[in-house]
Amino acid sequence: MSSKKVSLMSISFKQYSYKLRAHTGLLNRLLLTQILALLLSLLGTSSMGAGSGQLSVTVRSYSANMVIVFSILWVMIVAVLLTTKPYKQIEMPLVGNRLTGNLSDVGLLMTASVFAGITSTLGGVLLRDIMYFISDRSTMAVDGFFLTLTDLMFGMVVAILCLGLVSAMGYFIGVLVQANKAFAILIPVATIGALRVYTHLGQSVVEFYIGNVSLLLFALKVMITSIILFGVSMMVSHRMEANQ
Amino acid sequence: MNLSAMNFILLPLMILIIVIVLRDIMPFIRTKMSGLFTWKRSFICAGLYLGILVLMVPILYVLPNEGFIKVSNNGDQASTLSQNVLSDLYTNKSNLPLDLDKQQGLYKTSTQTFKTDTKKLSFNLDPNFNPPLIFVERKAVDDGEINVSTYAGTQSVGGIDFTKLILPPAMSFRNGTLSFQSNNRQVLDLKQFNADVTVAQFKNGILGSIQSPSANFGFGQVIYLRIPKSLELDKGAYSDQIQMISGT
Repeated sequence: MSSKKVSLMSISFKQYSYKLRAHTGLLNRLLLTQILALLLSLLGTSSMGAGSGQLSVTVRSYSANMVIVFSILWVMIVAVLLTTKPYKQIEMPLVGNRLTGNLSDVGLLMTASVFAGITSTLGGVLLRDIMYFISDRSTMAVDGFFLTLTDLMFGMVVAILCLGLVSAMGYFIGVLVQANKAFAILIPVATIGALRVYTHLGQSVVEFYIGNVSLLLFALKVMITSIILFGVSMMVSHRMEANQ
Repeated sequence: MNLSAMNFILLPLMILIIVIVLRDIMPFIRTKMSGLFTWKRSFICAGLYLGILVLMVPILYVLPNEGFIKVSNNGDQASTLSQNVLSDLYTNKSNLPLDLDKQQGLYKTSTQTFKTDTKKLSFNLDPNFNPPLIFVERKAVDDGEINVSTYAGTQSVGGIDFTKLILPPAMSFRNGTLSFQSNNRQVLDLKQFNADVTVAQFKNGILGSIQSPSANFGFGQVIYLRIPKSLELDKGAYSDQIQMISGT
């Protein structure tokens, strides 16, 4: 019998660093996803056109929106995948329990969110640099091209928070589905049904988070929601273990 | 073979290729790649990727901001002003502006000088050309030169003032006839960088971020001629479009 006392956090951290190395394939997929999104963004994310008899004008809009959206989808998939059996089996060789496994997953998702948030926002800078050299500047508007450092940092923080929230949602959904497979059908049906019955539901949810245009309040709301979602996920996960 | 028949053959073929790629080739590539991408190499790749992206930030800030189109915050106002100016020029014939260069809302798009040895000047306008207003001013001297300047009213889409990109009408002078030909249909592909959705929603609000930008354009053009003192003017069929500024 060992007399050495181990803390919850140290085990969780060991699991976290082990998982970080074990799941590098997911990181590679993020890089590929972002590069693909960047290439697609070079075609423009949206366009508007107007024309008269002798003149036709098209204004193409460029932004890193596609990179951010692709990163959000990536983190959602990662969060769900982490709750599945093949990914949970990675924990097997390590000492720990369900709680340490969940905490290491949360740590992994937060790391993924920070990395994806920073790289997706910086993707917009890379896009601008590429467009500067490959495109005719006489047809390019200067306004919006040179990002301010404040906007860049602001964008990173908001992207990280959004990715963190989505990862918490994905993890919660994943845990629910692992607890009962019926949720795999119930959750999409309930979401689509609710959006069809309450047509303004989606907008109301978005307004709840960013309606008051304050970063601090937005961050607070996102963090509280994420903590609640992760907390409930851990409780559900713990009960699964008790049932099994 | 028509296009739909070709699609009928190509579609199942493409589906078959995709299935083969996903079922047989992708696992093979994945096995080979997973051996190639150890966690250390993956971290190095991620670090390099992040490093390159971070390096792009100072590069963006040292890029010179020359050669871009300036975006006017009051593009709508400038367009309205130019429409008013053009409308005044068309209707208010007694109060003509003498210096179009100083007229707000009008851009000079070209200037050209033609030598003339004839005593009469006639015009030929392309029927496909939106009728421009032609102002003629007599010079105080007989220098044997016709000075032609063309102007265009402000054109903008989403605040981007592209008036300077509009091609002036092609003009030529032969045997005492000044001809204006419309250019072929001009296609402009403008580019604008928008703030990312993460920033835009905080700056413009939810509704502001989805509002479409306004477009202001017609094709109002003004041609300004300075002709020698004694050159006779034959307005021909264009008497409504041609106005004298001074003299006869």
